[in-house]
Amino acid sequence: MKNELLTLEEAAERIAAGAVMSIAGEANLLAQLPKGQWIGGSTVYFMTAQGGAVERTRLFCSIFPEGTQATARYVPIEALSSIPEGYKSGGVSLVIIPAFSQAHARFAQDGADYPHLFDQPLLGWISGVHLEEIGVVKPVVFDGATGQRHEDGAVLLHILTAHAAEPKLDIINIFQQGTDEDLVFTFPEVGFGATTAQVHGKDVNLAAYLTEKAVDTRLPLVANYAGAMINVSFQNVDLAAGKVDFYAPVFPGVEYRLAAPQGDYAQSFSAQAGAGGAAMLSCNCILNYLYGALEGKTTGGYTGPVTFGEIAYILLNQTLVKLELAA
Amino acid sequence: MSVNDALLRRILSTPDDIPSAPLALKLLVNRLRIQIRANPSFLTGGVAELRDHLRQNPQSRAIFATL
Repeated sequence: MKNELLTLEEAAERIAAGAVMSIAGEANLLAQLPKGQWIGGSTVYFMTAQGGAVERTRLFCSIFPEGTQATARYVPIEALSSIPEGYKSGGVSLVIIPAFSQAHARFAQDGADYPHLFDQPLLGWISGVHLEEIGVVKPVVFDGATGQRHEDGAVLLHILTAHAAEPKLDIINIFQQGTDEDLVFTFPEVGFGATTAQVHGKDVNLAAYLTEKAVDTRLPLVANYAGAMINVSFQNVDLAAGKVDFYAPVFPGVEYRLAAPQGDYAQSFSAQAGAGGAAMLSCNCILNYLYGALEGKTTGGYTGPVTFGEIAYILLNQTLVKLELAA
Repeated sequence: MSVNDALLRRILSTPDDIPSAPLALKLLVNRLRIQIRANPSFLTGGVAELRDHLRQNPQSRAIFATL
């Protein structure tokens, strides 16, 4: 696996030569690429070898080894549960979904229930835009097989690598569950927003409670999924409306703890990531980029798009997702 | 590899972490546990779904040999 920041012309050449690629960048650049074995999504934020950066003139290309076979396809909202039907035996699948789309919400809420979703590595990200363009410019995804741009649905790249590589999908979450028992929440229903949560078995208005406790909402809620730490990030606390919005859904039956305070994000990623990352497909979260002030800082050897949500089987927040094609 | 139902039931009936498991297995087990807590009669269906997953996913299957 090779990660490169390429000009439009260089990326087009790779596609024409038959390269299998995941491509991130400005939508107007992606729209000019030729058809081929690729999928793409919009973002202008990247972790590069030199550190976090805004990049509008080049495309971040993750290029799979020569001989890799791939099928790119578009899946509309109503067919999202068919994502695993494209899995290639022994392969891996990439998925990109536009932020704020119906597919984003549907996949986040229902994805874990799709039949056979967990049977092989599925990773990807939520495409975005420059933060100053939210509400003005729509995040988009591209199906390289047709060259079509989509503002909703999902694009998939089902991949089978040529050598006996065993794809290993994992996450790096620098957050741990905090220990304050007053900041342990459960929710009565699934949703990207909540008015009521339970704390110590009693209903509270979540917005009022977070405000009263002066909770640092740059820290995510962290749930323990059988040993995997899964974050849900705060989007907005509206005290007047009594409502809290999240960047991923909360689910009933899950206990969420506010994350323990975080020091230096870049240092935490480097410490957990070690020396690896250069030859992996990875993406990291825009909230880590912002809250961790990652512009100009590196996260170990990991490079890739900075995204409006990460996918490792399910939608994640404030998490680095990585795919290793081990020899 | 054959995995007996008792082990699958135990995995789905306890809240214990599976630290050595691949991410896919942790996420699936977590989802099945929630479903079973909400509806205990789903245990049989959960065991069948987990068994099917182990047939399909070699990394998850490998970890079961060590449990």
